Amino acid sequence: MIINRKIYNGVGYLTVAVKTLVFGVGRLIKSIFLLEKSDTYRVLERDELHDLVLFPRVIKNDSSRCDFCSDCSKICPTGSLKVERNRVQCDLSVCTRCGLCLEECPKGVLEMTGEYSVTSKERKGSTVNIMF
Amino acid sequence: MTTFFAALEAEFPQIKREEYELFIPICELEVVLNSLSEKHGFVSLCDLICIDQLSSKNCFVLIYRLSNMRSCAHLDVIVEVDEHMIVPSLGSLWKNSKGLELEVQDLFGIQFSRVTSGRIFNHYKFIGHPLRKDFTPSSFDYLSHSDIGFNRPGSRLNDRPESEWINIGPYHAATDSGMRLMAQLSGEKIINLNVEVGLTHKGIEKRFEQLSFKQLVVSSHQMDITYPETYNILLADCIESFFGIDIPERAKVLRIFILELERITTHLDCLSKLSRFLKGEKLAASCSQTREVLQELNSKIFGLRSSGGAIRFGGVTDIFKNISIFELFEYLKQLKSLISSSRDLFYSLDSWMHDLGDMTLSSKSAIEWGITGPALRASGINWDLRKRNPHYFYNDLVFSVPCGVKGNSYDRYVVRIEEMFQSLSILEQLLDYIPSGSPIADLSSVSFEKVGRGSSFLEGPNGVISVTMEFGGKDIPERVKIRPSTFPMCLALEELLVGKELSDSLQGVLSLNIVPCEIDR
Repeated sequence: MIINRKIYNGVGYLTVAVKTLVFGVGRLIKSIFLLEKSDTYRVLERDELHDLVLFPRVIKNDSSRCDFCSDCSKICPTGSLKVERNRVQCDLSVCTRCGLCLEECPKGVLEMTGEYSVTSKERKGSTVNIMF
Repeated sequence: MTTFFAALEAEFPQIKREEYELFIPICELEVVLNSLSEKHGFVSLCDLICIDQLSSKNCFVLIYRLSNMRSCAHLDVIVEVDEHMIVPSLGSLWKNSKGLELEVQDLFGIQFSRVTSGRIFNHYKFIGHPLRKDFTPSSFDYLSHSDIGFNRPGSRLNDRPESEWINIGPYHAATDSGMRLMAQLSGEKIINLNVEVGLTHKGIEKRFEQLSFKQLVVSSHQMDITYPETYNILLADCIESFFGIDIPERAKVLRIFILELERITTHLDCLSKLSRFLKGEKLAASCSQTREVLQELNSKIFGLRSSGGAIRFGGVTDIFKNISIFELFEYLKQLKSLISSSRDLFYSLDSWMHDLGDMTLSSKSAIEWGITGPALRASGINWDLRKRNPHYFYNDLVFSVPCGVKGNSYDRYVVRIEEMFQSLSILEQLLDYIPSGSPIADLSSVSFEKVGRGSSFLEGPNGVISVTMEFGGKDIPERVKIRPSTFPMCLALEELLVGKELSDSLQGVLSLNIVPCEIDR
């Protein structure tokens, strides 16, 4: 039996408001204190990948050897690689994983890998920054 | 062979024996082709190639490639055609010439005398002819869809008011991706059929004219789903043979290995499609189990679950880097037991012999349409390019060519199943002898200044595929023309299906294993 419908609805709205406040503020505090962790990369296991998200990437701890000669983007048959002044990007929706860029690279700094950046900072749609 | 060409030379003194070429003026075309087909045994028209030379010679070059199946000889009859000339049609000589002429008319804008105006690969509202050199795509055109296929000129829609049109596809279990059949029914019988394949036009031949040889060989895997590497090998082989590049022995052996692996994959896919269509659940499960083992093997060899990315211009990447020979033998043993279990299942289903007994393709009409591969062998003709004109090391391998008797759908499946076992035995023979060394040739001293035309042929899983390339002295080809193996089958569908009942005929379409994405290049 409902005595007053207005009071009943009001209680509902109040709980919703309190819940959003608690969770929202909690997230805000978390993000302030744990700022470093949101920038890390998660390394997927080989079984988790199903061999489908392999893509060319500059070898870790070896990025200083890359001199942005853009030989890799010239040989790419589908035009998935883009070389700018200080970054190399790969469009995964266009890349066919043929591996021509690895053979063409004069310094041999590219490799085929499954390490995939989860954060949105390094990834825009299907375009991934392949230089860390 | 020498007497054969001596007889040809007596009639046509201008023939070039080394290049198998014959230049004739356009006015003699019908007479010469008639005598070639009747007297000299050129029974089938392989291909019709058009090359745009408007800028240099102010004309188009048309090449009629004829094949003599007994001596396995090819002859190119070459004519030069003006832009506004009407070329005589050859519909009375070869049945598939109408479709090939329609293709040239669509892509180049050359008019043929007996071909109705229409398009085969492009949308009917599309303006321009995309393979001409002066064609530049202006902007993104929106081409709306309508049921134009139902009202084509020549269809007898209004003649029989009691008949009905029915649409099958473009995405249907019987038609693979992107092929649409429009059948006019009278009762349950098909009385008229239109086939539409131009739904996913990729324009891949136009794109090849802008890619270097290295890129072209790698990116040609987009031609097909189940046998992408066969096309890579074909294009690489055409360029290498033209410029005289000797690839290492190890590369040749690895290429045969990949070719036979893809043959098994394609035939297995064809069988699993049929079993899903006819509700043979146990056979479908057995096929997908085999497919799982194949995908595991692929991921060990290529790094991907499907085959791809291994062929390079001048050789092959080292595909046996991550796998030992003993492991490979184990996989082959596993595959053999799995495939033989699915073969036993297929032979135990007696009702399928009746279900698949329809759609007979006689040997005569198969040759007239230019059909090759398992469909030709099922109609009783022992013709395999691996035996007739052996490529790489096929001469040293021991295998037999399974043939059918009646030429119906059941025979086509039997040929496919037996071919899988032959391919497995070839793989085992190859593993006994794999030469050591680098699988890629050194290309640093090769110059690409030679000008001319080169072509290459391969026995693919569904028939003979061939490519013709025009080289202009750069490391980019002037023109690439690919002849897909299933295009003649697609043209022959109109003859095969008319007069049959609709419910019986769709398994027959599956048994031909028509691949629309390779036709619609």
